[in-house]
Order: sequence, then structure tokens, then C-alpha cells
Amino acid sequence: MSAPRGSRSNTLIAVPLALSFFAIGVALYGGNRGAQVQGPREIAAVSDDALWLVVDDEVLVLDAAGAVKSRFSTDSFGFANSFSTITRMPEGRVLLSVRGIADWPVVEAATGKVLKRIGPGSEEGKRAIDRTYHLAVGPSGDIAMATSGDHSVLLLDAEGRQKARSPDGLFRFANSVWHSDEGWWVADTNNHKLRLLDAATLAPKAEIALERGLDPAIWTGQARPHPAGSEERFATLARMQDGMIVGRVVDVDRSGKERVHYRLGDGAEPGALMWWRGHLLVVDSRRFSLDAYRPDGSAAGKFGDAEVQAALEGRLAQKRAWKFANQGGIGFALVALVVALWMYRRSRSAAAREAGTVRAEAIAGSPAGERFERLQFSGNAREYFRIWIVNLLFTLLTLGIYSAWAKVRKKRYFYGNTTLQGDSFDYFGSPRAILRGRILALAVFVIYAFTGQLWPASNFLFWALAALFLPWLVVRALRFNANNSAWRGLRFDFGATTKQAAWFYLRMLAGVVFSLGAALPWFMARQRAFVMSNHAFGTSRLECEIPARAYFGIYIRGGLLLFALSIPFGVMLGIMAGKAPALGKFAWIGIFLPLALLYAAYAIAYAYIQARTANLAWNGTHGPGLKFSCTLSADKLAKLYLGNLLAAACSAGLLIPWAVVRTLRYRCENLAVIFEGETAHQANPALGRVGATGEELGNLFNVDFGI
Amino acid sequence: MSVLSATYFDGKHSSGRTVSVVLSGRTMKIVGRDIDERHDARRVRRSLRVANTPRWLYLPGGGACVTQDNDTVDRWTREGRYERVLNRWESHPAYAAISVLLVVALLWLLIDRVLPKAVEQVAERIPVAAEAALGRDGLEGMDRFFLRPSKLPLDRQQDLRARFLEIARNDAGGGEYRLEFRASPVIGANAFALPAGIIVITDEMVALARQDAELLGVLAHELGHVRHRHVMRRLLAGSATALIIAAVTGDISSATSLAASAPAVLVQTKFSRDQEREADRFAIELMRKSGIDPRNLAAILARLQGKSKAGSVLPSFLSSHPATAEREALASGQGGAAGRADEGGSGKDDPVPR
Repeated sequence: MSAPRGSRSNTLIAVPLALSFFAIGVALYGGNRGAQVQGPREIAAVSDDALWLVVDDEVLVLDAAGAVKSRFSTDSFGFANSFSTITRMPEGRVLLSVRGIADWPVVEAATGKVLKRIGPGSEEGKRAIDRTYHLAVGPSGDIAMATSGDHSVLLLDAEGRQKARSPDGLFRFANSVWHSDEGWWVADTNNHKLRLLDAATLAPKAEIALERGLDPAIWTGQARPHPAGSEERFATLARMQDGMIVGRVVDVDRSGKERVHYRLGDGAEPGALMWWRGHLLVVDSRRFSLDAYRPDGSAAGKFGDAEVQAALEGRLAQKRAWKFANQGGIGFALVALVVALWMYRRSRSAAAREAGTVRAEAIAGSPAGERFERLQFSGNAREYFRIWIVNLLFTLLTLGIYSAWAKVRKKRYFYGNTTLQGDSFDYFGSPRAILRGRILALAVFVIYAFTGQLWPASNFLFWALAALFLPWLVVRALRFNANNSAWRGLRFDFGATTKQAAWFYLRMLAGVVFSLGAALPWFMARQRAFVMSNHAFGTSRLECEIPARAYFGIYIRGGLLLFALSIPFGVMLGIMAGKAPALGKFAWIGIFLPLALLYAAYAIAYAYIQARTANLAWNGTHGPGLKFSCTLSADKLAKLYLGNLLAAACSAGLLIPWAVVRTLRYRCENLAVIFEGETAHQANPALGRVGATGEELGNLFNVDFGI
Repeated sequence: MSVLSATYFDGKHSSGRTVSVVLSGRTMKIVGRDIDERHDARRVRRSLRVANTPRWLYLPGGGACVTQDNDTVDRWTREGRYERVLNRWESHPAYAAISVLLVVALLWLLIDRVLPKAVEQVAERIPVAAEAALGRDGLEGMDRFFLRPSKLPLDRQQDLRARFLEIARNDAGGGEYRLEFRASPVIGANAFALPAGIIVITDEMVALARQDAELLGVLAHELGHVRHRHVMRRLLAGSATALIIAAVTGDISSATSLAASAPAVLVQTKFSRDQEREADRFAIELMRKSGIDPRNLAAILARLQGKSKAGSVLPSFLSSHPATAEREALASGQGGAAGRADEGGSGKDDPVPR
């Protein structure tokens, strides 16, 4: 088949393809940037009349009423992004920390100047840095570090050296911590308690069991002391459901009972809490807002002046924009891909229709005496299933020995049901010969595997030997198959000698090696032609010419097709694998779906290459009074393969016979022989019997001769 | 006298002629236009019946007759036992159903029962020295990509080695192992066994443990892998499974055979889970013999589980290890009667609030 016309339509297809790739790039980038925007992280009082609100990489310094006094970037403290904790220290200083960095700057609140840097001195403290942790500073300058997943509270001095540690086994997830006259109060999240530790020794002094109500899976997030500090109003807590979603903020009394519920509204995600001048300030990390509440639980509106709101809204808009880029990019990429595929199909079917008319004209206009005969296949899935399942059963029962007989039976079924001009083909390979070949092949394989384990160098020896024997193997395998096949009583033959094959493969090897592999399609074309050309029907020898250039085109297009189909699927796989935990129980679908699509992409590309190369090969083959016509459609073949994949997967393999039969039928019915005149063919008297070893060895080492 | 109609090919030219084949007594007569041949019926070879494909009668002298009339040929000839069996199994639908069930049962038997035992037997007979090259290459490969030299102080390493040697002596199997310390930020806290008895433990794992008893438990588990030759067994089983599946799905084109690799993965992961359980049992036994509380192993497993961020995304039949809860239960159950209820409990441990 010549190169398709309408190369303009081919370039047009490149447009949606390119757009698809571009959109994926945008989606990936957007997703990444979107994840980096976290909005308001922490708010804390740094002095009696100033607050710091950190929003991503910016710190807004607010006065008591929430008006912005100044802004600076977290960079000035050496942090690329926002920090995790802001802790007020005595003498007008502030302690900052970021998860993952064992370096805490002590900053002068009024000026923002870094005074010094301290950090946890002990091994334990350094280990705990990688998790979230909370800090509190006492009036003496001592620092309490609640290490969350390390289940402990560490007491550090003002330079960071460890002074004391809470007892082992006390905490299960030590969360927020604050200093009071009684000592250190720490939230023990998984034990649902607030614990009081001695200020100097961290020995447990008291505990409050938090009410859990009807929901046993409720966790406590941030905890802060209530300004009243009374029996009825002891602490304010953020409480979350299982999976860390939603959130309520409540006041609890000293017996752990919830007293006040703050009405946060639906979909709130309370992150940081802070009491300020009689109001509870709550940072919402999903809605990017800073809200104030009165002690009775009612909302008092947003906290912060217009500049604060603008900053928060700006971040939210940013995040939404990146999310849109991410999701929109994926959606757009898929749409563009579908468009590209649709355009491609249209151009293919237009070209096929053209080629079809050309051929029909050629046939109609062919000289008298030329007969166009299609191969017919008369087998069906039900018959073959029975043969197949019995083959399998007997093979298993005999631990594989029956496989030789099974192979013969299978081949006889297919040959016998394939007819040309009303006469079927015949196969009479001897099962014993095949069995001998298989046993020998297995022995070679086992020796190869074992010596490979013990002396890895022997693998090279084997491959070198294999390369030497390859021509002999090829010739023997093809000859065995040919000699044991017949049509109308005449046997086929493969006429190349080992020497010819060796010379051929040597030339091929040189070509491929010197071109560093780029000449592979040329090699495939030449090999196909070599194999076809040396086959004979009786004494009628076939000749095959395949233009190597066309092969290049096919392989390049096949490769591009695979690339185009698998890139978006691969990206989808990556994205879904990242989101998998969110899907919970069905997470594995998120991994399997893109994988299945990748398989499908491979099947489609493979079908394309197979169909095109088969057409080329057969159409270029001719013999005395014989021409061939192969009209496989890449489309239909791809659909066949996809259907087969699906059927095999869904039926645990039971539908494999059905898949095989329908694929074979399609291939048969698209191969036709054109008989010119009434050439009679004759038997080749020189045919002897060939042992099966070549064919079986070839099979085992997966040398596919590609007919 | 029995007649069937056939097409005759003389085996020298491609043209065929319609003939009648007559069988009378021991003589087979081929009669048609320009043909009149007689052959001794005993020297005529017939092809076996394959569903309803045309039947061939190969004549002595090189010709052959092909006919669609399978039934007549069947009547003429005495079926051998093989043919009878095949006929029965391939023609009745009931037999097809039975075949399916038998095939499934046999495959399951083969892969689930026979294969592991066979592989075990073979692996035992391969001397550990034979794995030397594999182990060395494996460690070199890991050193190049994932591992870095350990930062653990030498005396700590020596101390651990000595302690582990002590408890390894309690293993009746004897045999060799080699303990290697590495650091790996990529892999994190982990320990694994390579062929030829090499056990690697990362600094992060050493840091994760609260007591040496926990580390010894982990090392005992890895020693279990070494003792039972798990890596070699897995290699053998993998090749065998691939061979079996290739044999079963032999017909289909290579694109569809990709789908066949999916069941291979399931088989492999189940195999690996069984091995992990076996190693766990070995470790618990060894710890008991050495006087160490097996619950230490449970404790460090729980901590490992808590450390992993993704949690269990994969359903258990896809995972290469049994669920941590199952392993902890195993370890805790063996520890003895008195024990704190909370210790080594469910894996749900560390929420990450922010």
C-alpha cells in the first residue's frame, strides 16, 4: 500500500495532539503550584497589642483591631514558605518553627529582627522535627515541645538543651501545649485527654478526660486555654471527625464536658485558634478566612481589615485558579486526544475507501483468467473450546508431555478449517518429534537458567552460542513447519540453506549495529521478505519484495501512536496514584484503570503495526501464477485485540478460544490468493523428513519468525 | 461394502479429482475418472478426527484422499483408545463443563500446593554458596542506587552484631549470614534479606526502635528469610509460574498475553505474603528460645505502620505483606498471657492534624 494521500490531514491531526500534550503540562504544573498555596497557617499574639498572621510566604502584622501595620516575607527569617508555629516568648520575643527544619529563629517581635537561632539539642528532639510538633514557652524561658507522633513532651532550656521528658507510654499523640500556673497542659489526642505535667520534671499531675459523645472517632486538633480559665470554661478545642475532615470548635470545662459550641458554619476546617481581647479567632484552612466568635459561640464576623481580607481572598483565588488549571488541563487534554483520534480515524477510513476502490478497479479490470479467491475459515468457538479445554486438561494431567499432541491437534483444527478454492489445508507434524524438540528445548533452558544463577558470565556464552545457532534454528523451524503443511496434497517447503540464512543474518546484524539500532524497521522488512521468499508450494517458489521505506513509516507511526496514547494514560496513572488515599477502599481502581488503558494503548499500536506490515508483506509476494492480496484494517484488528483483552480478563481466560477463532477468521478472510491462468503446481520430490527440534527451540527462546 | 465420496490428490500435482472410495473386506478401491486403484486397507493411514474438519486417508505410494464424511471413516476403522477418549471428551458438552472444573482445580492445585513445595525442595538442594554471585550483585546494585554507608557508630554496630550472633546461635538450622548496616533516606526504616544470607538493616530502622529487643526481632525475621531460602524460592516460583501461564495461554497474540501477566502478579504477591508469615513465625520462635518477648516485634511493626503515610492503599490480596494487624496479632498472641491491652493494638495510631 502506498503512502496515504491527504498528508495535510495528517498535519492537522498533530494540532490537537500537541494541544493535548501542552494541556497535560499545564495540568501538572497547575497541580503542583496549587498544592503549594496553603493560605493562612497560623495566627499568634506576639505582644500585648500586635498579632502576626502568616499567610503562605507572607507575615501580616496586625494591630489589636486587626488593621495591617506592616507586612514582610517569611524569607527574612530564612523560611521559603510559611512557618508552622509562632510562639510568644518572654521579653517581647517570638519563637518560630517550621516542620522539618531543626533551626528555630528567636525574633524580636517589634522589629522582626532575628536575635538568635536555637534548636532542639537532643537526638529525640531532632527526630521529632520531621513530624508536626507544638511549642510553648514558659515565663522562665523553658520550651516545651510536644512531639505528636513520637508520643512525648520534651522540656528544653532556652538554648534548646533537653532538660526533661515525659514518661514513656503516657501520651498517644501529644498535640497542643500551653503553660499555666499549674504546669504544662498538653492535649493527648488519641487518648482523648488533656494532661497536666509538672513544670520542671514533666511528671503527670492531673488529667481531664474529654467527652466523646456519640462519636467515638472524634479527635482533638488544636487546643488553647480559655481566657476565663474557670471550672466552666477551661479550654477551647478544635475537634475533628475520623479522617481529619470537618471540624467543630468547642469550649470544655474542667471535667471534659463540652459547654459551648461555636457556630462555624458548614464546611469549615478550623486550623489555628486564638483568643484575642475577648474574641475567639479561628483560621479556616479551607475557606482561607479569619473569623471571630464571641464567647457564647455566636459568630462575630470576619476579623481583620480590608487589606487582610484582600490578602486572604487573593490567595484563595490563586489556589482556585491553579486547581482550575489542573483539572481543566486534564479535561482538555482528554478532549483534544479524542478529537485527534477521531480525525485520524476519519482520514484512515477515507484512505481505506480509496484503496478499496483502486483495488476493486484493478480486479475488475484484470485480464481474463485471473481468479480472486479468498481464504475461508469455517471453525467456530464452541468446537474449538472443546478441543482447547481438553488439550489444557490433558496437558496439566501429564505435566506438559501432552502439550506436543495438543499443539498438533490445534494446528490440525485450524488448518483443516481453512479452505482455499474449496480445499482445506493439512498439517501432519509428528507429535513425537515435537515432544523431543520440546524436551531438548526445556533442557537447554534449565541449563541456561541454572548456570546463569551460578556463573552469570555463562549467560554471555549462551547468547553467543544462540547467535551462532540462530540461522540453523531458523531454517530448521521454518522447514519443519512448511514440510508438514500441505494443500491439495502438495507439501510446502522452506528452501533456504543454513549458509544462506547465516549470511543473511550476518548482513542484518552489521546493518543494525552500525546504524545503532535505527535500521531496525529495515531489518524487520528484510527478514519478512527473506522468510516469505524462501517458501515454496511444491516446486513453485515464492518471491517477496517489501519496500523498506514503507516499513519505516509504519514503525514510526506505530511508535507515535503508542506515545500519543500512553502519555496521557501514564500521567493519569501518576495523578490518580497520588490521589489514591482519598478514594479509600476504591483506591485500587485509580491505579488499575490507567494501567488497563495503557495495555489498551499497546494493543492498538501493535494492531496497527501488524496490520500494515502484513498487508505490505503479502501484497509484495508472488509466485508462478500466484499473487496475494491482504486487506487487514488496523482499526478492525485493534478492536479485535481490545475485545480479546477484555474477554480474556473478564472470563479468567475461558473466552480465549473464542478470541483466537474470531481473530483467525478475520485474518483468513482478509487474505486472498489471485490465480493467474491455470498454472498447475507440482510436488517437490526432494522433500525429506525434518525433525522438530528447530521449531521448538525457536519457540522457547521466543524467536518469532514473524509470519 | 461401504462407499464414501472424496477428492483424490496424487501428491505430485496440485489438481484433484472427485472419486469414490469403496471398502470391501481388506481392500480399499479408489474409483473415479481416469482412476482405478486398489490398496491394502491395512496400509492406508488415516488422520485422527478433529471436530468436523476433513478427514485424510494417506495411501501407500504417496497419494491421499480427503473427505468430509467423517462418520463413514469412523465406521470403517477401529478406534484406538486415545481416539475414544478424545471423542468422548470433545463431543459431549457435559465433559466440557467437567473439563473446565478440572482445569481450574488442577491449576489451583499446581500453583497453590505443588509449586511451593516443589520450589522449596529444589531450593533446599541448591547450596547457599551458589547464591553468592546473586547476593553480591544484589548488594552492589542497591549500594549504587538506594543505599549509603551507615552513620551508626562502629561500637554500636559491633554491639548489635554480637547480640544478634547470640540469638542466632539458638537457631537449630545453623548456617551463615552476614549483617550489613546501611543508611537510606530513600527507603527509610527497613531491613531486608538478599541471597547468600546477606541481611541489610538501615540506620533509620535502628533509630525507629526504642529498644534493642525490637531490632533483634526484626533481624530474626530477616534471618527467617535467609534460613528458608525465600529469595531463591521466589525466583524459582516466578519462572515456574511464568512458564505455566505461558503454556496455558499459548495461543493468543502477545498483546493479549499481557493480560495474562496479571494473574502472575497475584500469584507472586500471595507467595510473598506466605513467606512473610513464615519469616514471622521463625522470628517469634527464635525470640522465644532466646528469652526475648516477641511482642517487641509487634511494637516495632506497629510503629512502622504508623510511620507510613499512604496507609493501606492496596487491598490485602495485592499487598506483598500480610496486614500489619494480622502480624501484630500473631506476635502478640505468642507473647504470653499477661499483657497490656493497648500494646501493639490496631494500626490506627497517628492522625496528622495539620
